[in-house]
Amino acid sequence: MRLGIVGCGAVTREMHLPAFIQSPNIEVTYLCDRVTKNTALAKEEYVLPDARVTAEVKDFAGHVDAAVVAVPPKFHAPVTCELLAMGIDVLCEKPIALSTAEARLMSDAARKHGRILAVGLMTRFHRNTEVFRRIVNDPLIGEIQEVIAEAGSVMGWIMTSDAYFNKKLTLGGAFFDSGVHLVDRVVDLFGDVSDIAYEDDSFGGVECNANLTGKLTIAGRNVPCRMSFSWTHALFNGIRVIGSNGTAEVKYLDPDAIAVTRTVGGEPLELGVRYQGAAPNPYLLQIEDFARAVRTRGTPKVTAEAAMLSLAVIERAYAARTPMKQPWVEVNR
Amino acid sequence: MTPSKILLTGATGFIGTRLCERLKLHWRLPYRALVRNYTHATRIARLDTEMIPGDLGKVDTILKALEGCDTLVHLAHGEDHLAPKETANVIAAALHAKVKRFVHISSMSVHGSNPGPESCREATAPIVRRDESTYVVSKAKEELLVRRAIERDGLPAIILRPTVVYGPYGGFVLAAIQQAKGGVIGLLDEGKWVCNAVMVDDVCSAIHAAITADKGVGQAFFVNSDKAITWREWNLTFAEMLGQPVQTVNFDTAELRAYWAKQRPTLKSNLTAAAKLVVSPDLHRQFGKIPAVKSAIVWAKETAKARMGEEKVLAFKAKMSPRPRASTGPGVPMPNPSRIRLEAFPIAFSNDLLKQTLGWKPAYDFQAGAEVTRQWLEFARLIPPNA
Repeated sequence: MRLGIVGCGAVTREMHLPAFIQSPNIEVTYLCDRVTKNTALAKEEYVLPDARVTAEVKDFAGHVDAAVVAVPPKFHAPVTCELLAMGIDVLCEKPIALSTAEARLMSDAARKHGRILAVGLMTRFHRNTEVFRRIVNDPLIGEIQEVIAEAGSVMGWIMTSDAYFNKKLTLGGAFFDSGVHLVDRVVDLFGDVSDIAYEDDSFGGVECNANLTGKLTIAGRNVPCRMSFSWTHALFNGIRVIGSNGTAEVKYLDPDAIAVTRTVGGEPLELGVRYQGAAPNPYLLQIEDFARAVRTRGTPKVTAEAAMLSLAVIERAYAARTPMKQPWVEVNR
Repeated sequence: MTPSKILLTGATGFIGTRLCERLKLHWRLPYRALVRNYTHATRIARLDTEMIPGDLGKVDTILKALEGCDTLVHLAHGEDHLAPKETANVIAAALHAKVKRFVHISSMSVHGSNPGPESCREATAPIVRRDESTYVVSKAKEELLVRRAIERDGLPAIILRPTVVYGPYGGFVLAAIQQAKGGVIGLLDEGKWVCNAVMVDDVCSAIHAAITADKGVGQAFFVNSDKAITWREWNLTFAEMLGQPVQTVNFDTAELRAYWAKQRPTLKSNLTAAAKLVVSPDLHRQFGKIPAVKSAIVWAKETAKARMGEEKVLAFKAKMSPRPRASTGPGVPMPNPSRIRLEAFPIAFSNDLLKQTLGWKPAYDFQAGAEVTRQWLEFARLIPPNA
């Protein structure tokens, strides 16, 4: 598959390209970025002497079969729609767009032009995802009582610009940008979140800390769920499902493991499930999945419609936003 | 004066971030942050701070950042060996841009690691030229550059010398919590020495006073709370926030100083270290990956064994193997020289001059500042809730 990349900033160079060069099915033929330093670094760091370089997406015509869109979220919809209209299949980075309305336009464009549109929610490719789904749906932990999901660590992501923070280019921070992975995983497991209450620590800029509470409908019952997101401190970084007989938990940093705690004969026991062998690179699995969908004209693992569900939760949360209490900030002596 | 816009260097650091919060939320003054590394800018990003990329090693980037600003607050202090040159660049840019106010954030450290009683007040406190700490020397050089620019070039600067700054996200607080998590904390001479703890909010209000006041230009001021505490009080206050029993272990400062003095590099210690490296199995393993070098190592070992005999080789090996350092207490690392400089500090700095000249006064005593810090520690999950 001849692949063009739109946006050669940090996520492309740190995450995508190391995976793409491992794949026998991918040939990176075009690099597009308005910042020439970014394309030059991508070419140099990943030894892509034959890849062409441009600042304009239209130059891809006739030279690529598919494209990865890794530009700031504000440009996801216009760039993706332009590529789809050119007859190019697209893997668009998360969050799919700034709004569900934009995401719908993208999905409609893909349908209209008969193209594949996949979304880069790579934690869906963690090895423990499907086993975890089976475990939480199994009587093993009993009736689900609560779902807790957290994503947080001190921001360490390498940034080549202020794009992460610039509200002209993105919608939010720890919740919108990194938190979308977690919201997507919860929605993928249990469906939509209702009765949303949301608070964050923004004072006009992008949030560093956020909390969401809501309800999931599991087996016809309302189950409370709470999610926390942080760019300033460590949280437990995973999903914990609390059942009447036990607890099942997955962690982002250990995508090969699942921990189950269950009371057996009145005594709590911890059961661990762990895959053998080195964990596969989820970015590699993601691009291989996309390449398969392109080749077979099939459905990618994460479609625009699927990505829209988590974006809808984020959208409703922002609409219900209340300021987070931060007495250490607000105090004015 | 009322600034038209304030440029901050070091805006993503501990004091800088809190200053951005207070400028935006409390004083509603326009400011811009010069940012070298956006990764550290998350907390100021939530304020929708105007950020401009810059490098204090390049005067042109500082000049660009200064466009439209008439006030500069210089908080940045990066690598000790680079900081004086960077401060010289900031001064040059400020003079070129003709700023109306330059606030330089110096440090109590400019009076050295072990100052005498004359350093309690600004009028008699000498700035050191030499010290065992590279930070002290670097900060002193920076302040001297600012003073020279005041005297020679008429830079309208006010110098602030904060003491031990603490509060939410503060490094000294994190170190205290980290130490106490082990259940045992080390105290120097029972923790009797002076801790000049000042709450970060009080440092910010001193900066605000320095920006807006019509007095004090050309002067230097200590920024300290009204009452110094002891390091015992400091360490135990934060340790108790963990809600678990904490043991204390005492270290004799004189003995510690003597110990570390012996560790200073000499010709003998350099030769010993080099010899240890040459005979170290780790080095042999690494170099042994090169077949030719591996053969040479094997040959050298066999030759040494043949000439010295097995017993002498074993004795030599034992001498060269790293030996565990004698234990100094249950589970407490021996305080290093930088901690000794901090926690065996002899004097309390007066804040009278700052109060009298700029009309500033600290809003926090240690108990009040620690309580605000505790709320944040709980939020950041560094201490248990309701401990």
